[in-house]
Amino acid sequence: MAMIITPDVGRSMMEAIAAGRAKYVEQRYKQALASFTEAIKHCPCEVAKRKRKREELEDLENPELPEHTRALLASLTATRARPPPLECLNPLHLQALNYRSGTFEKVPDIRRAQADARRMMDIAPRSPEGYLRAAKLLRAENKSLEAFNVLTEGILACLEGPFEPEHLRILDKARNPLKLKYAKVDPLGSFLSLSWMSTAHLPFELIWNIFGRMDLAALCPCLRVSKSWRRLLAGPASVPYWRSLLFTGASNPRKPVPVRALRRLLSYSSNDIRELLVEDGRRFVLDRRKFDIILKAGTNLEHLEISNPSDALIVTQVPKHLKHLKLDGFQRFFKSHHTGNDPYRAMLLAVAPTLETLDLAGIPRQWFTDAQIPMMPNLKHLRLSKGREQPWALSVVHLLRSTPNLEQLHVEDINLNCILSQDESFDIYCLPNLKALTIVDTKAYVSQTHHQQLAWNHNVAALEAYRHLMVLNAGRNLRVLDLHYGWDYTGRNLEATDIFGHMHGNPAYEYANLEEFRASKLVVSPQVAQDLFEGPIRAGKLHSFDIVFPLPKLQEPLGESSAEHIKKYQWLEGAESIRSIGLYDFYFKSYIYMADHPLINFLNKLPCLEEVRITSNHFDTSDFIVTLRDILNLVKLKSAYIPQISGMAFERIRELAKQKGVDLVWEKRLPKWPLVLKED
Amino acid sequence: MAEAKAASQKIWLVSNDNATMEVDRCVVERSMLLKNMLEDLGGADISPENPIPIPNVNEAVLRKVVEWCEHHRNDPVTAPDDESDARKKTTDIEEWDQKFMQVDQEMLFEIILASNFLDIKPLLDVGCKTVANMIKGKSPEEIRKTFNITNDFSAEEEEQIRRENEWAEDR
Repeated sequence: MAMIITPDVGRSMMEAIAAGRAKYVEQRYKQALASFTEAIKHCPCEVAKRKRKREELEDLENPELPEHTRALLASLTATRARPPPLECLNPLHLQALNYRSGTFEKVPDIRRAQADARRMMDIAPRSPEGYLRAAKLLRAENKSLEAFNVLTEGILACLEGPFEPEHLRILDKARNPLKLKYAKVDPLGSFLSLSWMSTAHLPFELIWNIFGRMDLAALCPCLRVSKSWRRLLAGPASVPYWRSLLFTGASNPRKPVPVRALRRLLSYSSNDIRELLVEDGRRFVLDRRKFDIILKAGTNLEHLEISNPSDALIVTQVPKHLKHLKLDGFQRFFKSHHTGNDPYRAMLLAVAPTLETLDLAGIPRQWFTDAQIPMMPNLKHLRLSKGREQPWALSVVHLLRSTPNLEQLHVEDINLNCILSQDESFDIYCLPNLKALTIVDTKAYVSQTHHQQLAWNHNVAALEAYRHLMVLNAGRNLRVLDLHYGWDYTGRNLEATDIFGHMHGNPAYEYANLEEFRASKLVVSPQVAQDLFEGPIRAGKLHSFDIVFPLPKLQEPLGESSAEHIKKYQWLEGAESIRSIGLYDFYFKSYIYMADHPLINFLNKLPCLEEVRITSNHFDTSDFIVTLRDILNLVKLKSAYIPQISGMAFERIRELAKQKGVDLVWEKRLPKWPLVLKED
Repeated sequence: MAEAKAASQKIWLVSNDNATMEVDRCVVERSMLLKNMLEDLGGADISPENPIPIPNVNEAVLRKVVEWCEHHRNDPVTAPDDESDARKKTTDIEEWDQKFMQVDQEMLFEIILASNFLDIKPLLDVGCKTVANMIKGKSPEEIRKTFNITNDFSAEEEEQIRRENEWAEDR
């Protein structure tokens, strides 16, 4: 607004202001206020305002105007309770108001001081002074949030006008001490960005970078925050982010999931889910009706995991692209009168053609007896477990015939057999792509009874099946061999129960490409280990190796059998391929001269060692700690996996590991399956 | 040798409010945007008088971002294929980063926007994780309080969606 400030007006305003300031210094506030008020009155905008008011009043009282015009004017004046804020470009006006507000604060008359601050914001909305003054007064009254909001209002007002970085800086500086507590940003809304010099908002993909990290149970409350949150998070643009419904961990249902809620969750993906995981079907109450609803929204389902359904689920609609299937507890619903139409078997038959990964805990009844294992031409990873509850044996021959492209096989507590009819022979090349073999047999173990009698408990038929699995492709293609199998070569006459039985008979059999050998319970003779594994070690392939120590003999000198065992691993010394070594069930006495310590000596002769993995049940804690301490002190390592220790002992070891720069891992690692194998 | 020289080379950046900063090249290269730019242009002509302008980032935010890059200058550069879903799902933040992110919400979101613009993925992830952790495990009312959001659902609407989410609630 154009305004002319004549030199006269300017001079009289300045004089009045100076007089007011002088009185203020003398603490004669009343007189100071009078001077500042006088200065304000001189401002042309105030003069004009007074004039306008007078004219309005005159009009109202002007007898020459007709009655109805006067009435109209009166009503107009009444409805316009406050005149529109009048900007004033006169800096002296602003200054006088500022001083007057400050003086009111001293008096104190906070209400008037505030009114002047408000007036400053009205006449100069893009100058920081009014906002600063108002904020100062509010803070003095402990109204920090309001003070913060006034300053933010000021910044927003400044951003509307021409760019004045200094104004923004001053206002933002005043906000700084309040920000930590009061700066609130709605992640889905817009917020003040001083970098952007405007309001800004997160781009949509960043919103899902945040919300995509949350599990279902954390995401659901977000839909209840506000309408705009619900619109954004469950709206059409968010459809792809709802394609995975994982009812697991913290998202395990606390209560049954109602049909209505399930339908709603499925609808967020536009009824097109790709992944479903129900970890606890009983709590979910996953019955046929809900499964049917899921399948209707799951024609493109690729990944399905269900444990413990509350009903024998029926596939009413076959997902056409199902690649990954994990089922647990489905065999429970088998009834012997279900001749031929066991829903579990039917489900697997329906999805078998597309499956790449299959993980079954509990196996369909007919797979054992009628050998009705469906053909799974695309299956790469197969894990079967919890078969012990089922008293029948599964034919390895039939199993392997149904999975010709298998790359990883994991059998865990399954009664296997390897019975061939008379005209059949076992084709060791029937799984040409097999790269990883895991055999877990928790029932196979050696127990020491009195008088050094070793009792052997195992299933002869299963052992024969394992031996056949281990010579597939003459051992040459295997990259990971994991045998969780309790057996000890030092037992008497146990050659017949040696899981490697078929491997050392034939010179053509060799684990030429083995990268990992894991055996947390299997005590292998060091000589046999040399026969089997020296090849891949010298070839630089085998990088992860396990040594399980034999049980101490009764009345042997402390630590003797472990010391003897490790000494027989001399052939491993200098092996550059070994990066990680597992040491299980050892017992070493404490050595005064570390040069005598057979385990330390051994570890120090592995030039590229980075990691040790250790558990042992033969120690009392203090002895175990001594050995751990010696290892950490004397062997150069990057990491140590020691899941066994706890309490005080743990603290000491952790402290030492920290000093030595060793990454100590104590949480039990859950083996990931399928294994991640690096491409050649 | 050439690499060592390139790493200790100095680069100058200027924020959109005209603050110039001197930063080691290897620190600057935490930003994929600037790394690619420097690879294309060499960066030899960059000087205190001719700094790289960083639009949309003011001094306070740029200082914060540079501080983060300084601390993480030796981190291995994660390959783009490491971007597995499992990694994306986590909300674990290392201790230093947690402390670094103890800033007001405006600054937090400014850092997120700046790291997105400058293409500093790990910093962007730390920022997004921080926000995710502010939301996780909270009731709708607690979330509203955290971010100062008004509840605009009617009582009936609220009751209906509450019932749908009951299965996921603690009580």
